[in-house]
Amino acid sequence: MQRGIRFALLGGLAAGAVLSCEQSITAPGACPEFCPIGEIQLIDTVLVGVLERDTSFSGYVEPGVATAMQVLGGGAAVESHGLIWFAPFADSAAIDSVTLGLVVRQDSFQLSLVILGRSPDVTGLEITVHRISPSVDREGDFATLAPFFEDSTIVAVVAIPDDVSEDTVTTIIRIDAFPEFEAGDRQIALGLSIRGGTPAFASLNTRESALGALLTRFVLVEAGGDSLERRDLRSPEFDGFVDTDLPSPLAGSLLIGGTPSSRTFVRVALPSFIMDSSNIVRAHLLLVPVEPVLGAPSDTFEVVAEALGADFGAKSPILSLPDSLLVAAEVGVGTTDTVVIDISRIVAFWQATPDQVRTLVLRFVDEAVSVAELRVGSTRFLGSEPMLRVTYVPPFGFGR
Amino acid sequence: MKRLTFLGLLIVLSPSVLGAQNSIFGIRGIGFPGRAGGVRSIALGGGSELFDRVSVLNPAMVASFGQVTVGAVSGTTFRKYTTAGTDASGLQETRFPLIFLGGGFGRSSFSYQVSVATFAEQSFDLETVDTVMVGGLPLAVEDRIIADGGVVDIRVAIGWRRSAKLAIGAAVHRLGGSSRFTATRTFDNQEFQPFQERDNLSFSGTSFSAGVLWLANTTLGLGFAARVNSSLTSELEDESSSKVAMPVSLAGGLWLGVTPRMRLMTTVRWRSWSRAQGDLVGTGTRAFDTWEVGSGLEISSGPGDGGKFPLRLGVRYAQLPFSPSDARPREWNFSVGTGAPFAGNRAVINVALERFQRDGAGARERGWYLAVGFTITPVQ
Repeated sequence: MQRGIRFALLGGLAAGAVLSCEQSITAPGACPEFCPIGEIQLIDTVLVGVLERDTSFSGYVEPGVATAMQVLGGGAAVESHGLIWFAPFADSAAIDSVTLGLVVRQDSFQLSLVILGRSPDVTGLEITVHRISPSVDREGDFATLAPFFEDSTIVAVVAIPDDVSEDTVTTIIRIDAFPEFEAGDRQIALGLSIRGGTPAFASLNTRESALGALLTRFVLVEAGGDSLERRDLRSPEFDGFVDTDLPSPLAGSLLIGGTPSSRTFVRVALPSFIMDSSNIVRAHLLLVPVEPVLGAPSDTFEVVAEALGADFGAKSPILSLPDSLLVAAEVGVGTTDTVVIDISRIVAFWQATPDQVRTLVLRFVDEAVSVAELRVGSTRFLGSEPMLRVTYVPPFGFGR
Repeated sequence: MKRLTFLGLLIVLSPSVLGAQNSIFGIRGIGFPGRAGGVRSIALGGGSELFDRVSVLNPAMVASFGQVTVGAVSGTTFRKYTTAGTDASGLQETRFPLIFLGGGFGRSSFSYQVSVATFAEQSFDLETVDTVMVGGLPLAVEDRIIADGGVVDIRVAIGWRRSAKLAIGAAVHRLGGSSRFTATRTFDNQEFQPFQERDNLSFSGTSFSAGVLWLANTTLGLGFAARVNSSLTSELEDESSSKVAMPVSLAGGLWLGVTPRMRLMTTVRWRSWSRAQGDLVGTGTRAFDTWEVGSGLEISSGPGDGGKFPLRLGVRYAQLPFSPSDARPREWNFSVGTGAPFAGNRAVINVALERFQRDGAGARERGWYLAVGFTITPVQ
């Protein structure tokens, strides 16, 4: 019996020793005495001259295909007018999903606009709605379309409540506001402006956002001897905006944003002891505006840096990276503060793929949705050239 | 029988972590030196390291292998330590510090042993928190440095029984092994990407050892062993390398049969670790020559070397080779153990429990070491 107990004890100890293979050696370091040789260093430096062959190209996104439009007026340095061409109405309207009825009477129109943003500090903001001849060239510029924004063309005024920054606003327009509607091809084209003595803006969704403006015609239709009231809806077939010309940029400026949108390309040439041998834990692209950021007062926008898949000029393809790798920087109109764009994840991607071309393209996150334009110094603009601020860890080497 | 063979092979071929006890005193230098003996030797305070055939200290003991024998040792350490301002407890790790295969060359008086043992263990996982200044702003960081591995001692030994009283042996050692290092830094600010660097440090070196065992009679035995090591070469994955001189080792021991059932064993060992000092300049590490003295008493239930459930008691004093200061750390060990043959004496299991106390250079480490060893002789 005693022997059995001894065997059991021995076996238990043995089994316990073999089976207790759990390892738990994580402990607070008692540094420097009882820590490995060496320490993780962190070097933070601003590098000038590591960005090269920077250049800007324009014409990427036209306001006519942007996801929003900006209406800016009230004496602002730059003004813009919104344009909407609704799809033509017909002499009939839908009674139900399959049946059409002849329109025998038209009462009025209802215009719905989806507000995306507005001047935050302006009260009593109103959007003035103008009648535009549908046959006018939609590609016209601010000056050629200016006659359609006279007082005589006003068909409605849409008030934007002071507490509304993102919402849908509506207004009713009398049917006789469009005297040539019946005689023409039943198409409605509208212009939007902001008037008054205070510079102000409003941003609106466009058809490209899938939540653009809507024009509802209230009609009486006849079908089978009955007269029925119906609503006849039309979406825009074209919308966008035109703006006054911005001042000419200073020589040596790089352009980002504006209409049509501009993009800037920057080649990054980090020293090999940083790029190839160190771990970059943070990388910030520093852009110095060479003049106050242009645009609607109090407006903001986002600038993003993306990596190119290949670099062969203006039409270089942007590398498709997960959104999580992109960090945008918010910039306010009127500022001259240095714009800081986080490109840490892009640089980390470059470190992991040494053969990848190391060129950045800088653009607005939402291009051609406003008149805003960022003008920053190029490598030829001494004192305002773009810089790279990197924080990196040199090779640890584990004390060897 | 097949089960025993399978078990033995499983232990010998196990890819599990080979290493010895871990220690805060193993962070500096090449690590914490491994023990040369098996479980019986641990239970006897290292006193039998020159007289235990499982031990890799004295090649002469290889001569005692007749039939093919395999064995392995598993050891689990439970420890805690205190330094100025830092306390760590609940640390635990299990290692397999020794595996071996031994046997004789037919009917000749020559025997062999191939073994893999821990030469130095250097596994740690240290976390520190700090605040660094980046661009004039404070930034909280958390660092973690992990090492997992150590230097292993692969030995091929030949022993020769000159007579019933005299055996001599010699061995060639290959130092090898590797340590996987990972350094990470995380930031208390999502602007900063976490930093991580990994590397693998490979070790290489060559050693030679020789030993002699002389039994004057049934009550007195003497053993001597010497070992010369080349420098230990450490090579990172980028092929950058460094060398650290390894010590010469001299050991002498006494085996005393007090009664037929009681044996007293003592081993004294000196190692010239200070040879490494020149290669550790600039690392802030001091290297010292070390003395180790271990004695053990074994009381068995019957005559001979063990029998069933002998009582083994041991005490050991050892100086530790590496320190961050001029103070030489030291270690005291108090151990108890036993063992038993089974399966018709074809297998032996030994168990040892050791209490260790390490002090020096401002650190104090306490803990327990539980070791279990198997020795299997598949065919008799």
